[in-house]
Amino acid sequence: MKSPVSTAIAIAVGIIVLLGYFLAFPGLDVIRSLLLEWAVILAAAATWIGAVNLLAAHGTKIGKRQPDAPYSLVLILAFGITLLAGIWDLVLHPEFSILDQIVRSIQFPVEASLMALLTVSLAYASIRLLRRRRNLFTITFFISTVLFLLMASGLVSLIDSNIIPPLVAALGRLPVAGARGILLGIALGSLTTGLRILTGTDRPYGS
Amino acid sequence: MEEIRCPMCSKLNPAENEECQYCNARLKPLVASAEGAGEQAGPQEGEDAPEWINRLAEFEDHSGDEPAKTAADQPAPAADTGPAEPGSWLARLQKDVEKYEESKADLPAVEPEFPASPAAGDSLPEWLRNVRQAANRDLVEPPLGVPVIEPGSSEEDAWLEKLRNQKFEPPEKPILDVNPDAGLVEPPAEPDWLHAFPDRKEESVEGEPAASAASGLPEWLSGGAPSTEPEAISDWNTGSQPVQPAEIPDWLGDETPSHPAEEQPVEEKPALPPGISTEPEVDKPDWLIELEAHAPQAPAPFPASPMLNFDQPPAGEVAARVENNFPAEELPDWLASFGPAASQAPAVDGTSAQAGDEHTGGEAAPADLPSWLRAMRPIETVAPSPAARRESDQREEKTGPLAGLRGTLPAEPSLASFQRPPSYIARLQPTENQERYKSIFEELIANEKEPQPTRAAGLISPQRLWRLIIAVLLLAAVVVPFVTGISFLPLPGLLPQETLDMQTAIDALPANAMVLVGVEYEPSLAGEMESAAAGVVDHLMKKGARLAVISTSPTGPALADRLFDQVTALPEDYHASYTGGEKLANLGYLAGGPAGLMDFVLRPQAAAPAMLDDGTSAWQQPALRGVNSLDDFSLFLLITDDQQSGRTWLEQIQPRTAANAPLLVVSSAQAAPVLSSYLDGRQVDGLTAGLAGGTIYEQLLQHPGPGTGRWQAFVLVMAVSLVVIILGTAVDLIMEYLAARKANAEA
Amino acid sequence: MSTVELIFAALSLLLTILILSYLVLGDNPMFRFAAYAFIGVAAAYVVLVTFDQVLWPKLIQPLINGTMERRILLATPLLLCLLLLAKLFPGISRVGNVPMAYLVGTAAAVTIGGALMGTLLPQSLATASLFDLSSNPAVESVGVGGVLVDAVYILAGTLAVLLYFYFGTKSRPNQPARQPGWIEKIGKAGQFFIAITFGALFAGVYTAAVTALIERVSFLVDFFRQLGI
Repeated sequence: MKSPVSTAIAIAVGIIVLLGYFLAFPGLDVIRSLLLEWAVILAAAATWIGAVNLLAAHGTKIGKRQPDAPYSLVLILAFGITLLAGIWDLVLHPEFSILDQIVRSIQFPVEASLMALLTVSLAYASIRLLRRRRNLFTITFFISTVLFLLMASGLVSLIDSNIIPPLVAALGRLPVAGARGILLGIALGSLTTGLRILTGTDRPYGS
Repeated sequence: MEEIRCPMCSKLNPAENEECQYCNARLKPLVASAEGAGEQAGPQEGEDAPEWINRLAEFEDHSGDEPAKTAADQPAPAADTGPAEPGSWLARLQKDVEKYEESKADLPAVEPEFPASPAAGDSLPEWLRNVRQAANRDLVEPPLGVPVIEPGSSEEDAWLEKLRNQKFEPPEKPILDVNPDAGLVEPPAEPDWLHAFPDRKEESVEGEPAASAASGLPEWLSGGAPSTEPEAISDWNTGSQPVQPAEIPDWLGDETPSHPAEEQPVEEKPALPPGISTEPEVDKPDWLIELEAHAPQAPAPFPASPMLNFDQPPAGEVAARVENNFPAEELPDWLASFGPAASQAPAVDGTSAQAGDEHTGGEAAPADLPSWLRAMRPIETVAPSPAARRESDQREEKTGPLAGLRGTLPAEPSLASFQRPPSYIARLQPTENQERYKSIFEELIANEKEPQPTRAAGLISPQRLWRLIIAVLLLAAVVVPFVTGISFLPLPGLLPQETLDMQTAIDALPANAMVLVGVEYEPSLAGEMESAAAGVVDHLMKKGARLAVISTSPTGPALADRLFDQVTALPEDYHASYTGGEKLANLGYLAGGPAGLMDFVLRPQAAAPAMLDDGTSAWQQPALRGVNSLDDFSLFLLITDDQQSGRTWLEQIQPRTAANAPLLVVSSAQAAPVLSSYLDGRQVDGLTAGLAGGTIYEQLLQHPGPGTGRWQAFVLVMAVSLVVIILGTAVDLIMEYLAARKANAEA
Repeated sequence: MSTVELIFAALSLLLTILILSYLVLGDNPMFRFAAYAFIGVAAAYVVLVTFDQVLWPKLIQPLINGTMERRILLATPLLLCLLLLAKLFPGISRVGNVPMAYLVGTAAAVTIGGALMGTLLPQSLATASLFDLSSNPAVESVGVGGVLVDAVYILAGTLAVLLYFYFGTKSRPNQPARQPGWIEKIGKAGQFFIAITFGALFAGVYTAAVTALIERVSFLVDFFRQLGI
């Protein structure tokens, strides 16, 4: 039997917050702000829950001696070292912020390098695109990719012609139609999903 | 030990058992079959025999004047007795009637609805008149138990009166148990109306049935008194419920005829046993008409009804007794059929419930039965076809006590006949869609070929080779400009309008304007975003704007510091204010995504309670002095690498901004196509996208920055990428074509 | 560059090389070591930032030092946070449905309001305003014809893309469910517009990746230059 408490809370809170978009009076704003503040605190707590769950999952891998257990150990060690360093930083507030260095020296290089790897993968995927499937959609996609790569590369500006600027401007409008349709579709989907949650039809929080 | 096989279930039982220990059927039938005639000679002397049999025995011993005696007093029927005088038995019947009256008081009073004595000749139903007439003839003898009354005589009225007062109960035992082979026809099913006759219970029959039982004749025929128990006449044939004496047909009870059939003229027809309807032709029921059409030429007064009455003597004996007692030339037709002559008569259906109706045989018009009586007759529904009747009549029973008899109901219902059950072929009826799916599935399976032998993997797979080539080319294209320092490629010359609008918007800022900067990108694209936003941030710094930085990404505040460090790395005078916190305030991380942004829109200071290292609130810094709400910001700058975070800002922040506070977006190249849609509705007032946009903006400011420094490598890598993609696609397609051509040639 | 900065720079170099080894060696232990270490560091960083900038100033510190009224108001989020901990234990995870419902309800309301006020209405008005020749600044540069062509193209493309994402079907007896014919045809045209947009997006992603590659190579070059290599 589904619990009505969770559903009632979701609907009540949602309706109060939503009303603030359309009605403006001081009492509602105060309640709305309070509810939003509690939501921010809960979101932060949910982030903690996610981190603990991550540690638990990798701890289970180590306990079960799975093949990836050494890497899980590296993960947990890195977590622990970073946590200790960060606590040190937050408590003592040294001049050299370790947390900043963690971002600059570890997160940034790794993520940027992973993004750089994507260059080769995307190039290879572009080469194999037409071999996998050849239809109107893929051919249009390939031509559009090459065209916008050309436009983004700056090589077009090498062509000295008066027709280039308006042509580039016109070509730049081509993706706007599809993008707007995608935006409207996303907005409609979000609206529908939100209304289904506020009416209790969907209960993704489990009940 | 000697064993007997049960005639019903065919299981072995000890010889001394009288009943089967499995099915409780009698092992030794009371009525001896044709095979067992020697063993069972019928009821012994002293045993209680059915009354009607005892009555039959009287014909041998009595001349008609002697009163009927009880069954015990009746001597056993003799096989060689001379025939009785024609009318003598009628007289005896009359005496029996008198006896009924005497014993009437002992029986429960059931008032039949008899009408007053009808006027002679005009109120009686026709069939009854016919019966009377037939009774006076020499060749037609009325059934037993019915007094002979001259038509029109006072005796007629008396007889009728007596009939009214009597309660006739159907005998509980069948009248006759005859063997069709012996020429005897089984007695008819006594109709329900016959129950309306005086209740023979009241006239307590005592001991009479012995003779009649021994002779095998029905009780009424043997002149026996009615039994003490109500007899179910219909049980003879169908086992249906007996008609209660109260259900006396109207024609029998009314003095004035209420039924049209009663008004019909009397016809000279052969005498029929009581209960035989003599309706005029026009009122005959369908079943009767059908029966008449198939009636035997020598009408059989008594239908061959199957009886399982172990109290009856063997059929052969009964037939012999009847034949000896009643010479064929003197017997009425219906009775004559019991004799050898009756063997020539075609068998009548013994399974018919309405055997009485078969008496008509076309010789007399059937009585007009009331509707309620007609409704009770199931003959229309269960009567088999004449051919089936004849066929069933010819069927000889093989097992059980009725073995050898014809026209009996089968001991085993036809339903129980063991035959091979019908086989139902379960054929699927697929629809058109299912047929199509089936063909597709078959095609898929058919296309599944034998697993090809796997080729030994080479040191470098084609995919890996391709990747290696692409990586080498791209890396070379990147490294060469940095290493060699070449700058032969021109800077971008095309100025997008949205970039110009951004420059215009920032130029329009008043001095010391409050600008909210949203840093919404991840470390993965920090390099691109720094290249794209450095010029814009530098422009803001050049304008002396106070910058408040906020982010909904945990790494946002750290990346914002890195951005501002990179911008202020180039020594400029106006950069000094942005290093000590005088004009730059980092408000930190906003949790909750859109909810956190909405919270910041409503209460900026409460939503972002940033604290400095010394414990003071960041809102106390000079950079944020006087800022209490969103309206205090003059410009909003969003630096994002993702269209999702861009949409969130545009949906939560932008609608709440003041009309004169522009919102500018520095976007990654991957989010620009989507975010540029917001330019049309003036939700975004200016847009710079990617490294190219940053370089262009730096060109506009004429202040080189990280974008300008990476432009050469960017253009070269992009050019190499285009060549690789185009040529690589062409080569790949050619290789595919060649491989397909080779495969076709081999095939 | 100080020693600490040098150490962190070297760490950054090492991690960059380990990740870029994928180009040559594919999925190798060095690459996986760097990836797993990164995940651990990122998770710890999020925990630290969340505590430092949200939980401590908004929940814990007011509970300790705040007014009674503030404490009473913060009792609810504190209780909800404790209930959320139940999600870690499968046996009592149902207790955590209450705070999850709170979060979902709030997010749904914010999403509805933002989608309606920030995208649906403004974007619809923007599509219509393209036909307003009097206020369109592009009339001067491309002319009325150009503006109208642009407006019609945008409108047709938007509608075609929306119809492409319409998945309602009609069910008929003994026939598979299918879209109405006219929607199907316009949806096919919508595929054309979507292909163009996806091509532009793909080009943008590739461009961003190229920029990241350039930045990483630039870092390596600068690092080795600083070392005098």
